[in-house]
Amino acid sequence: MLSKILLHEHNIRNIRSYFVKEGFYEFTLPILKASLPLEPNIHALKTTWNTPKNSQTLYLSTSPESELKKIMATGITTKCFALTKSFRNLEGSGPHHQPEFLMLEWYRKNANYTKIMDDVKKLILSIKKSLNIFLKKPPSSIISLQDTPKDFSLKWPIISLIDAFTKYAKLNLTEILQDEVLWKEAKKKGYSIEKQTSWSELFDQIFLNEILPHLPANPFFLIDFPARISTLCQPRRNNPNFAERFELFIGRVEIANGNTENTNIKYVKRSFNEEKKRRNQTKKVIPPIDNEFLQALEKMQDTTYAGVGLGVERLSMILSGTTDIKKLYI
Amino acid sequence: MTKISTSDFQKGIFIEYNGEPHQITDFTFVNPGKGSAFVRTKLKNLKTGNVREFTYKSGDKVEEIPMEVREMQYLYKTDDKYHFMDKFTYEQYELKDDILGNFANFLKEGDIFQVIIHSGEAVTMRFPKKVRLRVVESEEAVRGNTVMGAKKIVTLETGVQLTVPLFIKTGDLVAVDPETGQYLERA
Repeated sequence: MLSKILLHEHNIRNIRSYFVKEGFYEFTLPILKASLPLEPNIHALKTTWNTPKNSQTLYLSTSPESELKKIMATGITTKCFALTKSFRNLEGSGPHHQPEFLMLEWYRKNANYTKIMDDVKKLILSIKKSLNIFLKKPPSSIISLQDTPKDFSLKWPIISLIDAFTKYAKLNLTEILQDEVLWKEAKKKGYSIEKQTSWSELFDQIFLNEILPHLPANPFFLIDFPARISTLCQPRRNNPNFAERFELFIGRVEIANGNTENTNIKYVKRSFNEEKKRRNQTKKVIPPIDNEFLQALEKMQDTTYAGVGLGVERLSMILSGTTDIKKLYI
Repeated sequence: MTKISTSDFQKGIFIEYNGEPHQITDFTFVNPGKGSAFVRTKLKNLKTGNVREFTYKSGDKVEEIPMEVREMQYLYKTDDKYHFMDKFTYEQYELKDDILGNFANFLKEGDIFQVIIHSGEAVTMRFPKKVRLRVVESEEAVRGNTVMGAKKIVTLETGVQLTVPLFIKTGDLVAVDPETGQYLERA
């Protein structure tokens, strides 16, 4: 067990030195925040800061995204990253999931999501290489994935959700973007629809049950996420119903989630307000909307920039063949 | 039949899935990134014994199937069937070995178990967390990591082998976790 912990720490050190070598600036960011971007399904842990004068509600950061974007907006650098603890509330814990986790995020100016996909693969191969040296093993890009060896240096396919829905769920993803159509198709398939069921829940449920089990265990990038569930992502120019967004899956577990950033402040503000309305109805916690973040987005509106969030524990789990995230902690 | 939600899920309960009774053999929480919570369950079809996975939305409602639990005595085994007798009615019921799995190694003839009945048939049993069995044979040799404490292999009265600490002798009663097949303590 101790060796998995040391391996994880080693990966963290190597991630840091990889980015430094690539010319990225690291930033150590606040974890206690007074306001957050308001994204669907991302809930923050709340706490109270008591001083002799008053008390203030603060939230634990759900990701370094908003702070890193504020930094990008200052123009101080064109490449930045953060390796920091993030916190999520209202999510059950599981073998790949804990309320507190280590998030790696990086952003590039004048780049789009395809460049970031390249970054992700390069990073993981580099970490694997460093691990071989640390473990005094010969250089190799072979990883044992669910008990079978996989060569990570081979092509990581890019799979479109549009194609996957057609092939495995027998659904036209563009058509089911409309609520009534998805509801009808889901009912036909026997999925239950409760009063509070949302479009994104049904979409995810169909994906988890009918599509993911057919996708490879080897690394692949999933693209063509509907824009309606990708609020901070730039919509595709030739097909704005879908976003310039990707997720990296290894072992059929999501490891990273990245995109070309949306700099249309009206669009982002509208999404935040829609989420606020939704939370009012479900009585979930509504942190104040981070206006500095919106201002930073506005400053970036004439640039193309892209970034990604990667779960470092999950990466360590893949590289060490661990199946339970808790084995990485003492 | 009552409706329960995913927050009521427990290992071992019975629910209706696709119109047929299934037992939840395992479940875990899944959170797609930037998505809501889901419960991935392993469901065993009581009629066919097939196990499949289904992922529910957190908060989905399902029909819970109430089952009858009866105390029965384990009698004997024939081929792949294990025979039990209801203590009060003397009726006999059978469970197949694929339902019992590893637990079959720890069934002692004459012991009482909680058997679960649905529509007049035994479908499964409540596996106790601990079973007490006698050691009938033990070797002299020492095995294993001496840092953790030397261990040896013994044979229990049901014929199964068990790794135990050195101080366990033939004739001793030991407590075993039937799910993992691991020694717990001297009974």
